[in-house]
Amino acid sequence: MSGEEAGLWMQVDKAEASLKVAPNIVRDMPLNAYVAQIVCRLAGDYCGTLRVYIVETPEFNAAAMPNGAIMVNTGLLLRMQNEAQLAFVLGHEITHFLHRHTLAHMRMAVRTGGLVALIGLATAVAGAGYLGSAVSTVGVGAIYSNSRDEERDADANGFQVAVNSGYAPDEAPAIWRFMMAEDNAHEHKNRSAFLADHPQSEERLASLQKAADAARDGRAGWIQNEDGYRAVVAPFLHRWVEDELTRGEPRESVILFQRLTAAEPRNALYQYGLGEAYRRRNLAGDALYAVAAYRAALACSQPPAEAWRGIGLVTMKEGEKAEAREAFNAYRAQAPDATDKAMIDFYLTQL
Amino acid sequence: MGLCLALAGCVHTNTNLAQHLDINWSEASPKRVVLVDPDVELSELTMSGITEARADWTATGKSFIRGDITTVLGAKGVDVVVTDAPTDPHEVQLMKLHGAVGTSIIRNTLLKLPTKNGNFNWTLGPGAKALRDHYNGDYALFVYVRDSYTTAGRAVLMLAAAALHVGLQGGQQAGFASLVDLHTGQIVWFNSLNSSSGSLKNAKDANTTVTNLLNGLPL
Amino acid sequence: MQLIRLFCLSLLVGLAGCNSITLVEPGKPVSVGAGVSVMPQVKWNQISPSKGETVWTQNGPSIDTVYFLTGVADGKPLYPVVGMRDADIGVFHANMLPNDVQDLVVGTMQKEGFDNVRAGSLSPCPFGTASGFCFDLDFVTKDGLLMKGKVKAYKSSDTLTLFEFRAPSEYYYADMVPIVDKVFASVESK
Repeated sequence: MSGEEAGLWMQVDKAEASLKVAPNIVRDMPLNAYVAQIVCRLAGDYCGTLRVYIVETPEFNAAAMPNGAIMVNTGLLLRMQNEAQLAFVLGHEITHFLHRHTLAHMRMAVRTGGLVALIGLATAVAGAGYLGSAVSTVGVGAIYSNSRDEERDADANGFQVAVNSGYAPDEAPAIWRFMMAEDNAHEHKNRSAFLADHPQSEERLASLQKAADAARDGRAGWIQNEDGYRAVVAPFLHRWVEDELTRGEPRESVILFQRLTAAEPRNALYQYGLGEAYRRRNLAGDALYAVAAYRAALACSQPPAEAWRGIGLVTMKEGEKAEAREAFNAYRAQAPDATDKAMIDFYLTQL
Repeated sequence: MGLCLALAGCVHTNTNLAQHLDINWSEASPKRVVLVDPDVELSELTMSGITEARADWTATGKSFIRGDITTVLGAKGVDVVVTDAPTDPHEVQLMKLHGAVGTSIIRNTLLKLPTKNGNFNWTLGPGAKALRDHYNGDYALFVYVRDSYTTAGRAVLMLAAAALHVGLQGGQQAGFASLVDLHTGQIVWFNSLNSSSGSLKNAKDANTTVTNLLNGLPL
Repeated sequence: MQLIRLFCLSLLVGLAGCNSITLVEPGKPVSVGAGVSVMPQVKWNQISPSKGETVWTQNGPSIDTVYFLTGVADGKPLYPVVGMRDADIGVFHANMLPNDVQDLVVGTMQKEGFDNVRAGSLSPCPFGTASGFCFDLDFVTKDGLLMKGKVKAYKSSDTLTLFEFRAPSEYYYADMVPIVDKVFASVESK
């Protein structure tokens, strides 16, 4: 092992140690076990060399570190509609690890450049960000840059690994398609982390679609396991929907929740998410779409009380006082301990 | 100001002591200092100016630091307990807070906060007692070192640059050490180190580095 | 000296350029921008990185900060975020409700680089002699340090004035919040 390689291993192991104690690691056993068993099925004999870390952050991303640590963001789990989609993402990342890509081309978020060594600080674990220029030092969600060939390899072999485990081939191009749609929703912004690491191109989508066409032929009984996936993520959905909204990217959130509600119209949390996304996007006509989505949420089983609050906020702004009053009263009745109850009560005095 | 110009070998330390310093030891236990998971990294500064971490140098550098600190404090009758990185969530937050406070202290040496009025007054807060209870030490010693060494190629480049009167930075040693009173969380001593000539690659030079690092340690 | 300027830029990357830090003395009202003043209660360190932004700190911006944003206009973000255009950060609208302003603060902080930003306890509260609103924040730095925050704001017909305090959850927030509450409570605007 070269000196450079050993040094990289040291830094990677350090990054994993840091990841282990990060406050936003999701430690729920059933969720971790579920993701781990998919990883195991895909990795076969290498199952024992891999460790899964679920990170609560709304960005869509997953990454495999060269030492076998695999990070999966909850933003990615929110976006998957079934187990097969998750399996294709994991297969792609596992391939990077198994084929030792990231070791050769790893670039850590931590860079020890000359001037930094002089100061000796930028790599020290440091504290608060400053308004508008948050200082990021050790980046646990490090971005690994792989070459085009490595990406093609991860696509092709990752796809094959998942297909060999029985996962429905069409789910692979589906992921790329919906992520590109979401990314296109916002003209100017920087790409999502996953797409930045995996440069989008029609060529890659076409290859995956072609591979899916070939693999699908003549076989049935492919695994999608929509129900199993939904059951595992159900306890977290409310939280992950709220996390998505904290991104402050309502245009992308609209695209996301339109897709999720189209596939699962009876899911109250997806409908609520769609309502919130429309309300925050606030383009012409969005007020009506928002209320429609909130009402759809309320018609489902176990709707979140916040759907009432959403209707109240929209109708209050539109000057529909009676509707707003009704909605806020319903919110207060359904969520008597809501942390924003004082503000809602204040709105009621204005209506 | 703590700068060492690249080509002149020099060592600069900036030592701070808290006002009204009072070192107290619990009578119940032997005098013990917790050396918290020393954060040490040795790298190679290549010709292109990129610093590449070296695991082998780091491992030996770390063990020199651990060994020398244990010896130095042992001579003063103080036990040193070396810990691994904590996993308890509260202790993890204390480590991260120490990083934030250390950053502020170093920034303060360059651009002073007027409210400090020249006093050295920093703390992790009374939550530091958790470390005291866990490791049974009255004080914690934190050590952070980043040390880079030039390759032969880099050294040649530096000579060439010097001939053209262009300053090119060579290997640097930078770090800090702090002593925290685990009863109060107060940082009672803080020393930042900047050197263009120190080394942690062999026992003799490591000894000098640790001496510099522990400059003014009030134990 | 060349090297010192570089020092400022990289080491003090949290402080714009190498602005000097000035001392704020207690005892008399201090302007924090756009005709808004507060009583400091104690000595503070003041940094003013950009127009419309006054920043105070006790222990340095790596630890605690108090931001005074004044005169945020319709169509403008709360504050600039490095590398992002206004439209990408998200902007204030004059017809925003307190809930919308809360969402804007959260979204802006996520883009600034913090994680798991959550707001709570949104309620009306006095802003000097006017009616404003307040809420609390919980968030995490990219390095995993847990932080808490407190916001107090007032919306006139066309602009937003917003004060925000941030400090580590470990020790500093609870230690400083009584003084910060008094500072916020002392606000006066012309």
